[in-house]
Amino acid sequence: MKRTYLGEFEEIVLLTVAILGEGAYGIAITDELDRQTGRNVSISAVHAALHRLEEKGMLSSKMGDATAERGGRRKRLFSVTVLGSKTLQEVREQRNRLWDSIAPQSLPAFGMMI
Amino acid sequence: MNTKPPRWAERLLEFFCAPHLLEEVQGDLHERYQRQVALFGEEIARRQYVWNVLSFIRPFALKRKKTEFSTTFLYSPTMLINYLKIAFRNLVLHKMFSSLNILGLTVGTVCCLYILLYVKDQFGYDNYHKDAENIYRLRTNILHNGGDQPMFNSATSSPIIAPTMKKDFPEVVEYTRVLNFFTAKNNLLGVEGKTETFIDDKGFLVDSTFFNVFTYQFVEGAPEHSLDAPYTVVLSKTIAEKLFGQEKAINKRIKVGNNLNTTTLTVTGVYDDSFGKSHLRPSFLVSLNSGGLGEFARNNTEWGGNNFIYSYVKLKPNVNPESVNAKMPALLQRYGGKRIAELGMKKVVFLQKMTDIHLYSKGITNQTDKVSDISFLYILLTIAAFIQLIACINFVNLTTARSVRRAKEVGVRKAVGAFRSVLIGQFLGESMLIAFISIFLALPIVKLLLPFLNSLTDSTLALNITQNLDILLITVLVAVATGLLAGIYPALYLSSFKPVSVLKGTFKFNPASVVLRKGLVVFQFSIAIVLIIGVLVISKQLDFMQNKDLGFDKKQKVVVSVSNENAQKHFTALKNELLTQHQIKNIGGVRYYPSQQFLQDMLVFKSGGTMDKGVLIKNNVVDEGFFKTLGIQLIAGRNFTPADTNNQVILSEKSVKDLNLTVETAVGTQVFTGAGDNIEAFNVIGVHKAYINNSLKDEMTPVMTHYSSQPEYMVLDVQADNYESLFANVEKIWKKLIPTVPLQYSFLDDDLQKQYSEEKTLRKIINSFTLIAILLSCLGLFGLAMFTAEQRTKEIGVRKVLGASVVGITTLLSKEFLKPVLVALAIASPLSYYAMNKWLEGFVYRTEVGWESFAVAGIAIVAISLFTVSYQTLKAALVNPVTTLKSE
Repeated sequence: MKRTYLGEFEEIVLLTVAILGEGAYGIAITDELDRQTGRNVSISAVHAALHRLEEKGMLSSKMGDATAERGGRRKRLFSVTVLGSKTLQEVREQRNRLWDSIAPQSLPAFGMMI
Repeated sequence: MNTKPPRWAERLLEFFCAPHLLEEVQGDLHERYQRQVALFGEEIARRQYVWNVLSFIRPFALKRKKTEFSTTFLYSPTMLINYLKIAFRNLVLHKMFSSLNILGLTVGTVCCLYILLYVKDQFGYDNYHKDAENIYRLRTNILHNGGDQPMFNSATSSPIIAPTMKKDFPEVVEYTRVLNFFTAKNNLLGVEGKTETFIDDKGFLVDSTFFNVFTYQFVEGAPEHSLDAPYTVVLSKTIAEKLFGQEKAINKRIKVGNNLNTTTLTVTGVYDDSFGKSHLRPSFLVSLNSGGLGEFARNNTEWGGNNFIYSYVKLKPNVNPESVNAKMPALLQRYGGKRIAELGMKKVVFLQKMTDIHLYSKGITNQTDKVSDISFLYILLTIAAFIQLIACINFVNLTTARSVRRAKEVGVRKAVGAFRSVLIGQFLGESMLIAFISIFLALPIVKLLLPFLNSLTDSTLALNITQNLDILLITVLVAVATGLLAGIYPALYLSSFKPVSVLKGTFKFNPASVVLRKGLVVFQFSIAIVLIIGVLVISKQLDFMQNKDLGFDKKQKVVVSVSNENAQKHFTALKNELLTQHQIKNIGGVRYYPSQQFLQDMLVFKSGGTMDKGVLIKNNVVDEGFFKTLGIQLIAGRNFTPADTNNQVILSEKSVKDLNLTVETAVGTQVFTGAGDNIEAFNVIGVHKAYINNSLKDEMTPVMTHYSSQPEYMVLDVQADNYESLFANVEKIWKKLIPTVPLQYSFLDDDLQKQYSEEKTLRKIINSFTLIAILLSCLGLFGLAMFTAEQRTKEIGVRKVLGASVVGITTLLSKEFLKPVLVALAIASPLSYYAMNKWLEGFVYRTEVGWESFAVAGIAIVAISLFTVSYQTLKAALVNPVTTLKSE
């Protein structure tokens, strides 16, 4: 199956952008990531990932409005493109297929699975 | 919440972050920062901020986005050609200004280049010897009577010291001693079996280890063991060719010495004396083991006195000379302590690096050859820098003054998209172009003027650009430095014009640039005035020294050398024969005639004293005719008579004073020298009036004069209208009596003048540079005057229409240029007063700076500058107002 490669961190960032919808920009994404995954990521790492995703065509961006706490600087607001959403879908289906192929009990149990 | 993140981190981010990312990144970081401040306080927030900024140093943030629109390619060939074209058009269009600029820079560059050549040539002496950095010469300082000034500061030392050092100090690998034996203008060289001889006084007696210490390039024979055998000699190529022509010199036998019948030497090698620069430039080297004085030196065991030989030691690599110096006092004490105490002296022997000898030997007497002085080189370099600076200032002034003409060009260029940096590049390029044109003009001029310039500095420099890469490098560096120095301000100034005001025609001169221009003119003229005053004071001092009453009559005196043994025998006969010539009035014999250094001295004390309380008194030897011939008065006692012996002495006024005697009572007393059983007594028979034997730079020394009927020099008091016939007769008499030795004579006046050759060179150099500085300053003034006259044509026209006279307008224009010159005079006067007083302090007998030097310099500079601007101002004032006003 041929599609653009999506790294794990990129996938999470892409998903977070999708969660945030209208208000997805650097800091918001970082904070949301922290809340959702408990990962303490640096702003620069998020920026780098966003940048890469935009280059790959999975995100598009436009400049948003400025706030005082930003020293009058505008935000760059990101939204998931069609390619991005398609890629996310594919990744998810692939994962599902893989999960489905796993025989029951072949994974060691690590607690009460309900 | 008004706290701000650290400023330096902000700057850093702005510096490295790609511009298209900066806004969002900085915004995010600020947002985060504000929240951190609210949550954790400012300190932590700031730390976090810095950390975050640093974490952004990664490829994506550093990478600049390609712009969608291509900017003008600033250095495209088309533009470069355009710059060149415009530069040349400007040069051609304003021929007068261009030639003033180029002329000024060329003259400056000629000076600069020559001085750099000269200074460069003074460095690198003795570098070519193998292990040159480990070779040292022994220096000797002797202090008498606990004085703090060494009375004897010499490049020579006692012969026993160097061999003992090698024996006792493991650091010393090798030593060699060099004896200046053949200097007395009486050393003849000839081939055995032939009668022709010539005089050469640059030979040295040296130890057989000489070539283990020094490196010479041999053309015949080999350096190893060449001087091991007694009575061997190694010749320089020059001498070998003089003696043997094209024939091989090796194994031939030559006669050397002041008595041709005594020494015959075998040639064991010939070296190339044109190779390398050295403080020691021997014309031949004789084995020290060849009898005579060499034998005396070899067997000498004196530790205190007899400091007459040059000693060199080669140390092991990486040995600090200070560690050897530290061991010297103990060595002297161990072997010579008793003797040195007996002589009542304090003696210090220490090492001087061989490669330092040429440039760092100020104040050290008994050098082997002419040495230079690093401070003199600094003076030269300073003057060169100032001259070039004056030339650069001309360029700056003329270019900025004329900037209105280029203003439109700058406006148009900026309007069509030139950046300031491009314009700076363009104008700098133009000044570089002019600098390089100047260099290309200067090189042939330097080449052409070399003989003249060399005569100024007494050197024999050659300009071989193609063979000498470093000279080429220096030349290019001078050009680049000049171009930058001259071009940077005009470039910054011209490129700062605002296109709007320039193109609208409301452009006005920046008043600051006018002030700067005036300031630069003041600076130029200050330098010129300092130099003028310098020349005047140096000339005054030289005149003073020439006319100073030396205490004897120096006019019409001829000195004949009879120091050759063969000649000295005939002293009396020669004297009697010469006196038959009616043009010769008197003849006096003397060992050290005025202008010569006294080489002999002794510690003298009066009765009841001892050696350690003695006074160091120079010794001279004269015959009965000397005082009369030179017109030196005897103020007490009597003159020598042929019946006197070495034990009768005549003291000088100064020695009487130093010995604590009085003129009245000195005659008839005895003075002594020596210690223990070896005390010598002298009967004082007279006292002569003080006369200045040596340079007026030095203090007068006390002198004690002994008697000899046949001293080494004859001073003839002549009264001749026709010196040629006189010398022909003298030569005839000489040939008759002493056929084996050539006649050598000199004028006493010339010999005295030679003592001031250093000052004369300085005067010659400063003279030329002053001329050049004045010329350059006036060139600049001329250009400015021309420009102002041009600028103010309308104003002058209106003034004339309203009734101003030509004189009035000329005065008006001249006044403007006179002001900076007067300010320069006010600045330069105290500066030069201070500098020249310092210079004069180097002379014991000196004139003072004097107000007349300032007056002359002031009047001269005002007159010269008025004259310079007068042409332009008069021209402007004489123009018919109709021609200037009708064009409106």
